[in-house]
Amino acid sequence: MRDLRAFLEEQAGAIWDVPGPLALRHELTALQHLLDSQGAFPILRASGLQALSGAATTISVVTNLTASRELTARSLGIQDHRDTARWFAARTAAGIDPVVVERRDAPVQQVIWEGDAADLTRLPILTQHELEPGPYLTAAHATTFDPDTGVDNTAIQRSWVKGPRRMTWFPYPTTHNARNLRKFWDAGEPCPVAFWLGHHPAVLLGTQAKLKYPESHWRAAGGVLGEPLRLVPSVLHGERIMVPADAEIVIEGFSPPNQYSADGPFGEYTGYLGHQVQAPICEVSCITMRRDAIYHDYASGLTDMLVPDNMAMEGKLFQMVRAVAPSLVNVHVPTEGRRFHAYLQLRNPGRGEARDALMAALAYRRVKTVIALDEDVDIFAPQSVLWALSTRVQWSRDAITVDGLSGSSLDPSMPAGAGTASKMGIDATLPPAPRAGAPKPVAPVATVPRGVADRVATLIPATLPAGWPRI
Amino acid sequence: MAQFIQDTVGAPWEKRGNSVWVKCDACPTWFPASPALLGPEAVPACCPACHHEFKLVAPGVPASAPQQTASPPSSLGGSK
Repeated sequence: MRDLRAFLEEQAGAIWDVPGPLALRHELTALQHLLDSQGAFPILRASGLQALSGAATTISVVTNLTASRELTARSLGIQDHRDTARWFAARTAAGIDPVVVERRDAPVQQVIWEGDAADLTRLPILTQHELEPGPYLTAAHATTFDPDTGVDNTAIQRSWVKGPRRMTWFPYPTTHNARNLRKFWDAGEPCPVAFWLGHHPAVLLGTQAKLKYPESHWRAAGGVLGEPLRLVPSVLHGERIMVPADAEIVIEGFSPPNQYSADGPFGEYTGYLGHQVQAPICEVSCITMRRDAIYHDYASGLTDMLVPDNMAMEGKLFQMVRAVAPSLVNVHVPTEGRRFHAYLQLRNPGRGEARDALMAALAYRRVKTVIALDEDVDIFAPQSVLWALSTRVQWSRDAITVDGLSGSSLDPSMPAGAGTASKMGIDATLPPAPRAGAPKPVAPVATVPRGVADRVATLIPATLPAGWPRI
Repeated sequence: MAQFIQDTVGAPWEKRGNSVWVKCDACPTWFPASPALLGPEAVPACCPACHHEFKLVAPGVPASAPQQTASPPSSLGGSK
């Protein structure tokens, strides 16, 4: 069985048990900012904490779980993280159906708090950034369902804990959970919702697969996990909302019709704080968990949050672009571009094909800049991408800007009141060869013979001396 | 009365900010708020520092276009 604790056991060497005690307010997140800036991505585990109520808790906190792209890829069974796009596209498309287990076989229901005992302040929930108004669930996977079809939907949606049994949650208006919520509210009914936290990274990524509406994420999660996802009926909603049986914590409740409350500011994937908004309220009726539960937190706006969603985006972009550009061989959504940049790697694209690929990728809502690159460019190395941009692009010829496409309102550069974005595609590929087998009609890249490079490479010390300049 | 800072509307080729900054009625904290919170039908804003709740409707100002009514904040506060 693959779950969060099994993963942590496998990855003991990548875990830093942070010396404590640490405050839930800002301190763990401050560590993550410092580690990110140093390019170090251990999993952080903190214990001996106080819950929001101030009482001691045995619930430990795990964060930075997915800050390392390399480790996250390996957790999926991808030996080389650069193979993510094709792997993710294939696994989510194939899928594996979930299975339903008995309650007695569901670790996440070993402990059940109901009524007044369902008290969110008994959990160790972090407040991450300055100007955020309070503790937020940042890794809560909100599961709702479409009342017309019964088909469930799952997405990560931040939740501000406002009291023992009350919180806001923010399904962005274009999301499938927002559509489900609206359908219940239009019928004058409260929207049932369950938030589950803590699972194997493969399940976390699988449930972020980009799907149509309505379409359950459980099958895609099973595909990424490589085995059926074990589900159990939630305590409050029964079979109407199933939850992962091997999760760590589940919070169940209802969103009463048309009841909103202020929510935010909150740190977003852009690296900026999102505005205060009005968000639906959730009244919590039940909390279930494992006996020795682990509370999972995503560091908002840091690599911990960017890596998993960007990897899922690569899978979706691979599917979208490959449909119109068969020469596509790889996709990278780099964390330095947040979720706004995508690099497409093409193998000898025919005339027009690079532009076809650019147009397909620009249709992805969050993507704002797409660069088409050749196979000799390392799309995982920023210096290699910039080299191609500087030597293979004439801007008036190779850059395409398109206005009025769907975009992200979280983009701080969006004009006030804009409902759509201005996007750019850049063809940074070399021109095609005039005939098959001929060299590209441009100057060759300066190289040294492969055999010579391999031979002298052994002369370089495995660990570079500290005195050698790095820049 | 709530105080706002919002960039003015300009030509499409001019860079303009898209955030509305609001000052808490009860403490010195300024924070960014969505235009959706500015209308009379919106829920009260909530100061992230002191949790004071207050409506964001300036008298005589259309909800969709609040005017600049205060000087920029010297401190963003909000980290109590």
